[in-house]
Amino acid sequence: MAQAFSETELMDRVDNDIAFLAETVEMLTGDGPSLVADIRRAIGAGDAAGVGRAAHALKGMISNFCAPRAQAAALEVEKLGKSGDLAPAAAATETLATMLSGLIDELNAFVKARA
Amino acid sequence: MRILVAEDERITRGSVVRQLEALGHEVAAAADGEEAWDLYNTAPFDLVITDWEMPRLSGLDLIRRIRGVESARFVYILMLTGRSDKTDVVAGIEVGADDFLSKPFDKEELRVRLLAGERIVRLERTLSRQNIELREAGDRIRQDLAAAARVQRAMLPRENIVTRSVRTAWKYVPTDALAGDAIGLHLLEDRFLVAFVIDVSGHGVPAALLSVTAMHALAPVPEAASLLRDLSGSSGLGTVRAPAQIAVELNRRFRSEESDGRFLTTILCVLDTHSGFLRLARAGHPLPIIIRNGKPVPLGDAGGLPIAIVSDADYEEESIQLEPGDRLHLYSDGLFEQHRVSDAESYGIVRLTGSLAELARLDPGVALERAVSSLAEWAGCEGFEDDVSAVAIDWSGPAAR
Repeated sequence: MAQAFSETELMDRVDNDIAFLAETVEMLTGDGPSLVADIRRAIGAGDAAGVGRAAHALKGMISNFCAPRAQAAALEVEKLGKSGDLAPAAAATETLATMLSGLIDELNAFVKARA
Repeated sequence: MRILVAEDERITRGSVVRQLEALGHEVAAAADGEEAWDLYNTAPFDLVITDWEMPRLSGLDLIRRIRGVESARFVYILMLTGRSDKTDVVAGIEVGADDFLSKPFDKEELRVRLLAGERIVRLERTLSRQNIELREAGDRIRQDLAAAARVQRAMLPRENIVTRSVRTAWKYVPTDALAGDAIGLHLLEDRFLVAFVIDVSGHGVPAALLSVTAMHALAPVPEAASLLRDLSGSSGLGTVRAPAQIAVELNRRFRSEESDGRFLTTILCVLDTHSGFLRLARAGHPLPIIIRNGKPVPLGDAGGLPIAIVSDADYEEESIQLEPGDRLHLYSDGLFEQHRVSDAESYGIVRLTGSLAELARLDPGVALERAVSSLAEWAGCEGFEDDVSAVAIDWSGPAAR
């Protein structure tokens, strides 16, 4: 399976500063799943705007890691939330959760290998 | 630059701050719009980078607040957003954003956008400083003009001349702080009333300087330096020089090559207040108006060229025997060349003469006030196109001595 993020782009983005990258990966590891939980809660409450807001925040967070597929998955959930169409939102959120989880794992492994 | 970053998402916020600090900027960061607004109010910033969607206060509302504050200090605003939709860009620009940067931001793009912002900030600062300097220079010029205007006004007649046989009044309405018109009223040797009106071509400082110089030349000092004096006594007016000779001397003093292309017109009168015998000379100036028994007295058109047109000009003199109750008016062309706002028609000498004739029974000061206000009312304007100067002299008859 293709890597969840572009190593070259990411290292260029952080100016090869692995310590800084480690800090941001730690933030993603802590904040990312929380935002997924927020999305799930909002879906459960029928709060489409809340779904959009949380997905938007998660999309912004992911955008820092040069991970286009996870970012696209977050954008999809954001769009569903903002359009008010929550029927397909739960499935889209699970796809996003899976991608995020994979991204976090790969990033942590990447940072650990270069530490 | 001092940069304020408003971004609720902490990884992006950290990345932006890190990049900005690496580029040598001083950075303050806020986790939402309200916090950013608080920081904005504690210290001056050159540039604000703000996210679009934030809790408590959005990026758009933050920009609205920043732009809503009256401030001499310009702040460049860069919106950092995932949005690239045209309508969002328009909305951002409309509320006051200067530029956009899409997320995820490219560090090179961020660097060059900051360079552009820095250039604008520097230009705005320069412009702002130059505006202040310009305003200060303008204030200084206005103060200087006001001081010059006070000096010029101090040279106008201090009070009207009232004797048993003569009573004067004058009215002076400059269009600018400094005027090209001047008025003189001097009673010399307790008998000869010297009256003149000067009108320098053009307006502003150059015209006013020439006008003031002419006033100095015509000051009634006893020394021979005054053009009003002829100590030889050959004029038949005591030590007062004959009006035509005053015009000749004035023209000698203001040679055209030294007057920067400007010229002046004048009417100079010497009235023997004891006899009512009036001698006058005109240098390109409108005829006087004498009202006798409510009607204008026909006058000859003797005169000469304006002062400072040609050297060695000659001036014809006219003399008139006033009758008791006559009123003599001297005035500048501003009193009859004014145009009506509604149809651009000129007031004209006929209307002016009619107005002065109608007002002849009134006190001369009141009559001049009314003549000028009638002109303004007729013209339908607040201020006049040209300086307006007018003198009224009532001769009541030979004084018992």
